[in-house]
Amino acid sequence: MSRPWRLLTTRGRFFISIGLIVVLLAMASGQRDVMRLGLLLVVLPIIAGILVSRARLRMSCERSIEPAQVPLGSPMKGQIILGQDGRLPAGVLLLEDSVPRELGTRPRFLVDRADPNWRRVVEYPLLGRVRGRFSTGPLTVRTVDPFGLVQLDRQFVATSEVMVTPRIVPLPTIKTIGGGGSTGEARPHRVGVVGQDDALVREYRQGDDVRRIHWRSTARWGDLMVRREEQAWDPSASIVLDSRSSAHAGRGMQNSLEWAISAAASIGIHFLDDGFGIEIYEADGPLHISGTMGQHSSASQELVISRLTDLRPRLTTMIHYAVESATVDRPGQLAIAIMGRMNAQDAHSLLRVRRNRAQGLAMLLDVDTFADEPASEQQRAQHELAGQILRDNQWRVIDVPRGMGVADAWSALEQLNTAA
Amino acid sequence: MRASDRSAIAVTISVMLACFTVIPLTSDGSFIALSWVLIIAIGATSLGLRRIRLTNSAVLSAQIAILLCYSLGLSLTLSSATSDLTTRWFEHYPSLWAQGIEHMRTQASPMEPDDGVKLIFVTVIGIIMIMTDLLVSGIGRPAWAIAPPATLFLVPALGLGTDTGVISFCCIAVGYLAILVAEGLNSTARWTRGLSRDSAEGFGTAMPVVWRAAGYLAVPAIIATIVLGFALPTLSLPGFGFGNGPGGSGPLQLTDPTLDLRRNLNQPEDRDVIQYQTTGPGGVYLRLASLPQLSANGWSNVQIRLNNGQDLPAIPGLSSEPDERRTTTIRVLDFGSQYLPLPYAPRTFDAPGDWRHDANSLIVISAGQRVQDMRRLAYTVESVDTDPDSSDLNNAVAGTPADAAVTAVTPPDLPDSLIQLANRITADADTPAAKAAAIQAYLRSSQFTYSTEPLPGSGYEALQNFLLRDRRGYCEQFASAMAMMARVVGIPSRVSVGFLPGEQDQDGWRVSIRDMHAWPELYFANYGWVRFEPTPASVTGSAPAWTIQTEDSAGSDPSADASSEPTAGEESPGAVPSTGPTEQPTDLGQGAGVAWGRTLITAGIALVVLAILAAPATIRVRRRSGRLNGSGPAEEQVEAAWAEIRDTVVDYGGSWPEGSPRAIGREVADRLDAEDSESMSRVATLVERSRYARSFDHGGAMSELPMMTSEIRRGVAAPAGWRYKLMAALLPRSLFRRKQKARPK
Repeated sequence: MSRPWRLLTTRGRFFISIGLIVVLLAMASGQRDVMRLGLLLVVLPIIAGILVSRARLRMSCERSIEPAQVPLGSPMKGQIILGQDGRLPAGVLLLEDSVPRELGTRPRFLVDRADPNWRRVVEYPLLGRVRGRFSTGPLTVRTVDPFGLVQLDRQFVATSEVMVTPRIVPLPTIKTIGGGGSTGEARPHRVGVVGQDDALVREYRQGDDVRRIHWRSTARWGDLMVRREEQAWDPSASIVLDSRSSAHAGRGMQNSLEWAISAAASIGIHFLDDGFGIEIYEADGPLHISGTMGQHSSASQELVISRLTDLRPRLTTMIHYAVESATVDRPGQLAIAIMGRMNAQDAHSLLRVRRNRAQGLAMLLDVDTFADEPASEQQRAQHELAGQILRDNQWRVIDVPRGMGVADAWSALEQLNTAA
Repeated sequence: MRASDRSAIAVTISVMLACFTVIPLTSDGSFIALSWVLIIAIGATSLGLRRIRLTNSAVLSAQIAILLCYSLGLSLTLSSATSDLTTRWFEHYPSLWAQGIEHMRTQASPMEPDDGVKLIFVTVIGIIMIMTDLLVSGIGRPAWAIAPPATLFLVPALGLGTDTGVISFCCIAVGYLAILVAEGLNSTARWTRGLSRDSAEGFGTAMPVVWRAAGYLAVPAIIATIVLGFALPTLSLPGFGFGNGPGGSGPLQLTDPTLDLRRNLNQPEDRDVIQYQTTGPGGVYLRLASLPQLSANGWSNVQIRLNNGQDLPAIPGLSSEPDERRTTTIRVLDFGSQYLPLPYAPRTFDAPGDWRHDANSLIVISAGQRVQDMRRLAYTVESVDTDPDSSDLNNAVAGTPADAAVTAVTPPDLPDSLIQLANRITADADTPAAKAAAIQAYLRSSQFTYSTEPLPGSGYEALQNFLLRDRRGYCEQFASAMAMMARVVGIPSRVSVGFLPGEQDQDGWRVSIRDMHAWPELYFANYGWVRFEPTPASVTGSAPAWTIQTEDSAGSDPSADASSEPTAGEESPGAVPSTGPTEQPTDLGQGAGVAWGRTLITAGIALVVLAILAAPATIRVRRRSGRLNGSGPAEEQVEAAWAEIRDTVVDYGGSWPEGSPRAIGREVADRLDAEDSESMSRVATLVERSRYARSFDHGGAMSELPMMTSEIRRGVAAPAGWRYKLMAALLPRSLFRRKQKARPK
């Protein structure tokens, strides 16, 4: 050991310091019996240090976490398989696996047998209480002496990765949401198979994208014609996720933001399953789901889960960025907003998202039911006003109190539609 | 077993063991059993109450209540000197304490059995137990638990001048380690947590592992401590020790006045130390101390009981105290002692300072510092002269003084030669006084010569040297010989140390440093302690009148009569002969032996340390000479030279490159001078050939190999700094190289 002093615990250091003082005083005064006491205090940590630092550990450790990816709130099981071959050191081996606080307490155990060869399987429970990526391990082996004088920490290198994703709920298909303006019975990709001969055209209007000009019809009509149906047949949904920390409340897994993220993930996966292209806009901008991975749905699903797993609440107080990027981006046919606590200004900016989209759906979380203490009267009024503004502008709006499942809220949106 | 149980049991064991450490203080071991009952009771209370999770304060109060009840109950079964069982308990209890404290203050260790002391010991051990339990279980600081038992340990360790021994230390060490192990067991038991399944059987407890580790650690530690405890030197710096000083409540340590006696008699220049005026006729002997105990070590002090007050108690043994008092005003000029110089027998004295007196010897001792600086101390003393009448004394019988247990016994191991001599001298005398006179006359005879340089020796040996061989000595020898022989013939005796009366001038009497003197005092019924004077007349003048047998009955020894004639009629001024004021250091044989032993041990330790320091260099040099001696097959020689070069490079702090010999040779050669680098590449080529060539053809280069190797060695060493050179010589790194390589990164 290059630094023996580091090896000592506080108690060990005190032993050596006080022991040396006692020994010197006793030597100076000729008290041999007192000197022995001091010597004991000095010798104990030294011998303990030698015993502990000379020990070579021949241990093997395999570790795993099953499953490695769980939705929020699900249990996991960590497993450590420890093997020992060769003599154990003359110390006490305390083992501790480092587990992030979010997953549970650090499991600890000790080597309780002195025979040279054994294998031991240890399992410990973990609970994904917080969304995110975590790594458990490495396993720390702490060699101590029984008198608490020295302590030597050594670590294995292996770690295990765990991802705690948002909770994803399978959603029922809403019939009324589908091909823009059509009955929605036909699924978008089937329509796409039909071919471009079906193309509907209209006259070019100021502001139309040049790329949408249908040259063949233009040639036939002698006037600039643009494809009309491409917008309608482009099966895409934009999800605006209110990730402002100020708009949410609640503790841990019960935070309304977690509900919102879970809803966003569920809806995103649902639409990807249906062949939609989706993009999620959170308070700081888009999550870049469609852009990077194209339309490959299973890859996009993973991307949605991964991005939403990493999503952290934002400090922004406005949803300005989300709305801006949603309007600038490719217009889709469906806008879904999952909103926390709102005010009229938020509602007005949200209106702009639907301007070039067919439908607007909004889930307004009743954050007060998530929070421990209710919000002020004024905030409450603002929130209701915002909901009213959205409804007045033909958004389908549903208020989500705590305890309502994402699937229920989704179905409720449909019923709202049929009722309307 | 719960954590609190372990702690309570460990504390109980620890304090039970700690009880043994105070055994050297008392000769009465019965307190151990009594304390153990109390310790176990308190420990069981702690265990039980902590099990039902009572608070610390509740446990503490229960323990204190048990201690008080036990202590009081014990006091009722013990008897006190000042109060018997009929007195009320609340008077009896403090009186026992006072008695115990007084006993401890006045007795030397080991103390005689005393009920008060027993009560105090048991109670204090109970307090220690409660404090230890509080530290360990109450506030959870088991590391501090060494403090209370160590307090018990330190009392004999510091209070007694001697080493309390290994057993005592082991008791403390084992007890403390027991507490620490209990804590280790507790903390390891707490360690396991958060597991859902464990394939191992014993879930969480690691008793065998902890005990094994504790054994591996504790046994070597205690052994190493004991060995080191004997090996390490201790120095006793004067004035630095905290063991022998006058502790506030411990017994006063009496100095041996005879040590001063010898030194003062040999003072190179004579100087006046005391001046006094006295009302009575003639001068007075000023007595400092009296040594009542005769043992193999000679005459020595015993433990005495000191009393306060300026008035001294009755003169021991004197049947009727004379009314006439002598008032002496003494002024000390330049003298320091623990004892106050007083004429015998003092009645009252008036001296500034804190003085205590002893009822048996009537000596007065400073209660404060060990050696009182008495310079310019002036005091007055009233005394009575107890000189008996010669004829009356002749009829007196040897009495039995109050401290007869000390002053009237003849040691059983007294050499027969001395006893026979005493009996022979006194064979013709029939009364005790006559026997005393015969002894005195024998010692004053011309067979004996006064000399401050007697044969060395101590105890009986000194007496034998003086009486049987050398017959040379000074007052101490004369006095102790006479007192010893008086014991043999049945007269209680003691040796007093003090001053001769000194010289008289106009102002009074002047006592010089060489007037320091020792004389025997013999005890006769109705007369008490009577001074005799066996030291030759050349020093002391005539013997006291009462000590000379005027009748023929004692005149058997003609030489005694001859020498006891009053040759110097008066207290002859200037009679002090030049006793050869040489400054020869008087070295005691024993002291020299101790010094020799210590020197030898120190030298031995130094040798061992030197040997350990020199070991690496020696190993390295031996290895090198083995490699370069030019014997063995050529391949091995080449490999040995190669290894030597490698080690040299490593020794001087360089690194040995990896690769083929040729690559290594090139890299090392780059660091060397042109000439050395050529040798290096030649050696490298040789190695390459010897390793890989089908048949090794060295082409005559083998004869040059040792030379080339040493050349390379010089080349490697040349640019190194002095620190590297020193390291390479004393602590070659190459010796430790293999270990470093083996260490996993």
